[in-house]
Amino acid sequence: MSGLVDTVQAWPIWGIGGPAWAALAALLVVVLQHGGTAGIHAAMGRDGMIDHRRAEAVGALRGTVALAALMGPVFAAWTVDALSSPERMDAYVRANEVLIAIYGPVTVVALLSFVLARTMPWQVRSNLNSAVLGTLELLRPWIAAAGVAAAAAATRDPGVAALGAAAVVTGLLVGPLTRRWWYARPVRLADLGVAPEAGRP
Amino acid sequence: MRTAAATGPLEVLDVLWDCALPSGERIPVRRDDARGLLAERGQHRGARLVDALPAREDGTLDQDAVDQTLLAVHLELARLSEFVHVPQAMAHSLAPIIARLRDRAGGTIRVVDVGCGLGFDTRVVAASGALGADVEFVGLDLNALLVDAADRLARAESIDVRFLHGDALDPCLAIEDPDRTLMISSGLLHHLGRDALPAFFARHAELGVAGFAHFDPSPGFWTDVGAWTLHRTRMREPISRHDGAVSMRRALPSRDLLAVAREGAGDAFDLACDEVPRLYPQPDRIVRPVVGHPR
Repeated sequence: MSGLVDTVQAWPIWGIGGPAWAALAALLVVVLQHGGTAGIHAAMGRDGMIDHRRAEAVGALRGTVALAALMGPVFAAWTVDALSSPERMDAYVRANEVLIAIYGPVTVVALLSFVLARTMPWQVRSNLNSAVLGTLELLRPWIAAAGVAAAAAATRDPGVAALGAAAVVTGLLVGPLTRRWWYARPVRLADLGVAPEAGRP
Repeated sequence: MRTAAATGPLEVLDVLWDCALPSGERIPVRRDDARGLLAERGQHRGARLVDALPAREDGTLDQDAVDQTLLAVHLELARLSEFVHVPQAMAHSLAPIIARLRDRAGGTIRVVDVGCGLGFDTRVVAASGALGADVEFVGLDLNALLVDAADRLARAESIDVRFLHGDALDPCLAIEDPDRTLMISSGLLHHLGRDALPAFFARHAELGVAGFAHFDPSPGFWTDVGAWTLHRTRMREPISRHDGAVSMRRALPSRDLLAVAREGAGDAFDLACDEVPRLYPQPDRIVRPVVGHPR
């Protein structure tokens, strides 16, 4: 038992400092937000309801589950490599700083737009939805790839580049996978509610 | 298929489904006929989408598959409408007309959504109560499947909208008191086509309805960019994406829309259809109305 405790205590992650922890936490938020929103987008346009919070909640859950399943192996590989030595951990800390410098502002813009879209008049909401959120959604793969390319360039580390590329590829698969989840079965009339005759008093 | 005689590009949904008039009874569509209509217009991608649909031994399209396609595309369209806030734009355009009707006399005002599809816009406006408690809503569509679906969805959320099976070009079954009836639609005008629009607007004048607000895409560079972005990011069905792009090519510019409305309705209404600026994007007006105010 004490051997295990000693091993955990020897992990270089405990010495990375507050800013590096903050970058790691922020990156985790960005990744989880990606999974959740990818799942919500996949759920759109399948239930026909005007109140589709339930579909969105299910979508967010599916997106998060798909994210965990797809990125789990990448996270495990990152853990093994990063915890293997202080030098490896330093490389990932540097990569995280670069990633958050690129993904952070984009995520803040997306979240701000989302909050504004919920609180502003419909004309502003419509413009934010189309011009900001729609554009960011379209650019999502390119932004993700740009972050990893920048991190790889900053660290000049093949391991960081390989794991980063794997993370982007698996992360971008969350959307298509959850879409397939929703679209695997076609929507039929019965899914949309009770037949008019049956519902009439 | 009712639009098969129209010139210009067709949407895939236009050729998958047909019905007899005035009964509205569904007519089976041959897959070769449907794909031929698209292929002869050079729409080979659309033709391939039709090819991908299953057909029966007699060559007609499998109706269950067509129904599933119709539902899937209309469900995505509803979500797109929500994304660009078409229901709110509708309420915004109707509010001043309704206020004038209220000033003239009391009583219930009816809003009839012609070619309502799943009735999403009408359900949103009705559920919001934005137009007042004295306004009732009726949806009208020639496709019985969509009327059935709209009815189920309204019941599922206890929204007080009635949906009827009928022709947008002859909506009299939805009209009881024309003086207190407003006609609305979203994305219907480009389906009808330029040639049919004067008769469509003339019917409003003949029926003597109090006014109308028909929403359709405003064609132009920024609309094309916006529509492409939204269809890429918000729509999954290949037919949705195809038809979304085609609908932008079929929509009429504001001045043309105003001209056909004037040709049909004459002096019965004060007409307005604002030009959308072309120099900068204005997503909230990607779909804009031609409005007929009561004189």
